[in-house]
Amino acid sequence: MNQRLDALVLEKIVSARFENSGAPDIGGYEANGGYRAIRKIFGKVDPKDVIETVKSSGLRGRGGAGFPCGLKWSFVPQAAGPKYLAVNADEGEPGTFKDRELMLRDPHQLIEGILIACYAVGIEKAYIYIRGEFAAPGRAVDKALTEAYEKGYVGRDILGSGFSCDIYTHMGAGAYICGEETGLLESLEGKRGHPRLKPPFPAIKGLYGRPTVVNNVETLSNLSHIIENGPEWFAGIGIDEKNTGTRMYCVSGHVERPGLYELPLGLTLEEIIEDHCGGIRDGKALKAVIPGGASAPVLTAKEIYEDKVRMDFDALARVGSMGGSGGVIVMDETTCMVQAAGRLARFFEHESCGQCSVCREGTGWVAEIIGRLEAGKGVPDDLSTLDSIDPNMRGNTICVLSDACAMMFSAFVKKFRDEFEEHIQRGVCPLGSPYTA
Amino acid sequence: MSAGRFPHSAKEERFEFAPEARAELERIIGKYPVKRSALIPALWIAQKQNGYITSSVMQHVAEIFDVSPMEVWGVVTFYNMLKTGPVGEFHVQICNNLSCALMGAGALLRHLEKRLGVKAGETRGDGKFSIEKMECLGACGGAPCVQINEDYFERMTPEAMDEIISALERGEYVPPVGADEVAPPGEGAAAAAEDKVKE
Ligand SMILES: Cc1cc2nc3c(=O)[nH]c(=O)nc-3n(C[C@H](O)[C@H](O)[C@H](O)COP(=O)(O)O)c2cc1C
Ligand code: SF4
Ligand code: FES
Repeated sequence: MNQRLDALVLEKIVSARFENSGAPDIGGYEANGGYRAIRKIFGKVDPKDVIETVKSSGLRGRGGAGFPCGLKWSFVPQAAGPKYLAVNADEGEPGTFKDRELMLRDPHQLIEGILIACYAVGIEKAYIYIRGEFAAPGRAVDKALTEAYEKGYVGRDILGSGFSCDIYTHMGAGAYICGEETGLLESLEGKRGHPRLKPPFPAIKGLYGRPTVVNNVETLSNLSHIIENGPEWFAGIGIDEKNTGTRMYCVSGHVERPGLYELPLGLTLEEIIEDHCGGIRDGKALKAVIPGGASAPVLTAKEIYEDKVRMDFDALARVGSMGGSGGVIVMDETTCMVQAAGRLARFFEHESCGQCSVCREGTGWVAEIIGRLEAGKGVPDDLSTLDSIDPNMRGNTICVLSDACAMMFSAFVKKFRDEFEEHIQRGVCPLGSPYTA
Repeated sequence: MSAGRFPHSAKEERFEFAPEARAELERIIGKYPVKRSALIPALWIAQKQNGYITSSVMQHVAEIFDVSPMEVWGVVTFYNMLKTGPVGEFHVQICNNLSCALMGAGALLRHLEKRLGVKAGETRGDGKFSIEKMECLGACGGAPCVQINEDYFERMTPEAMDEIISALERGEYVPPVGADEVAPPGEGAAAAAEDKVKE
């Protein structure tokens, strides 16, 4: 057992300034330690050493895949010519709402993180791809960028270091698939957001065919703190060397206090729900939790209260789920699992870009079959059909949306099979289809 | 992401960007090493000017970007927020993904449909309100969440929604509710109502 278990440091990093109403303004940011990290390194620390610092902090991507940030940067070739940073602010994974608040409440923290990433990798142009619905966060970032340009933190020869970097915002127009990193790049190039076949990965051939780093807003928002306080400090928060720092857990659904909770990696889900979110609302019993956005396989109350599953990347992977985007959707005993699965299946069907027939057809079938079960019109064969669709939807497509849909529904069907069977036998939802939306 | 057919409409008036809109577009084109990247921003600007995207909008944009109108059509139909038909002066977008459903989005939608006298996916006869069911708006901690034009309204109840709708009907300013409150002012539901007041 890990030594740190009893002593997880409860320290806020990226949301530390959230309570401070002056933080979105440059004055407030500067007064609270802002733009100190770039002063510390620009023109003074070798970019390679910055990459090493981020590597040894153990920082992993907060966008979905949890890929080590410094390692991703190190894949970018040293070659001459333009390289790009695409900031993923498309936040569309159901259950996730942290990047919106990071942009609204502390936009300069993101800008400073972008500057650090660009300096480390030798990038002179960054685009912040913000989902189209996020008009207000877009304005917050635009205002912060104007301030930062005026102060000389962004633009030519920043702080006299000789390093130049331009940062632009780019609004999306409503398509979940543009959160997938290569779909994002296509969209940024003015096309349909169709994900690209990989390899080549964006680090080699990304935006306009040039080496490109894609990082999530929360990932980048951690960087100024790692530079300021050192990688050891960051690695000291969280449960082990592979799960360092905090996560912005986005807790929604049936808890007493839904909201954003920045907590160290490695708490149990039970601790998050009971100690931080006030437990299940109205004294009801917990039924299930989706721990990392809609793509993360659902967990049962037994896994949470008896097996005490931890909310770090690797512990969630060990139980067949994932940390994903940090979206924690809590469902109490009044929730119909068939209905919940159906809702998410229709989401994936709606958002499939349609390039791969397996995904286009598969998501459609799954939505149709679960929809039939929800309506009490299911037949016993439906469950075996779902079982047989599952493996075909995995590992056969251009991006992992298809896999995500398969992982989602198969976990629901496996862990709550009795509820699915009951819908077929009774021809009606035993709970009265409580959340028809 | 249903495609439908390219909307040929011969009778339609010719669309051109207003001079300020064209200047704004040129500024945006300057942000990118490849002009095509400004295509979606261009469509946003056109939609703002024209209300929605018509065949003549697509033809005009296609000429500017030196691509075919069908290519532009392919892009337009891919993105949910680019509209090929008119929506209401107040476009009420209600999230119906899981977190919001768990917190009562279904009942809220049915209430809204009754209160506004229009079904989801439709625009009211007087052009004032339209309702659209949305996938996750990225504000699930404030479920159920509704977006009116640009502004977010979190933790909505039928009562709170009624107050907002009544105020909009009276042409009053309605500030967003939830995290959007901290953002610099914009052109959301609030601005549309302000314009009305000025008229
Ligand atoms: C279907 C799909 C949707 C995604 N949506 C997002 C998103 O909205 N935001 C995000 O940061 N990453 C999203 N990702 C993950 C990105 O592809 C990518 O891994 C991430 O932006 C990398 O940044 P990070 O390493 O800093 O996490 C998505 C992935 C898939 C397959
Ligand atoms: S898996 Fe689905 S979403 Fe991904 S590229 Fe293929 S069709 Fe598009
Ligand atoms: S589910 Fe409604 S905002 Fe996310």
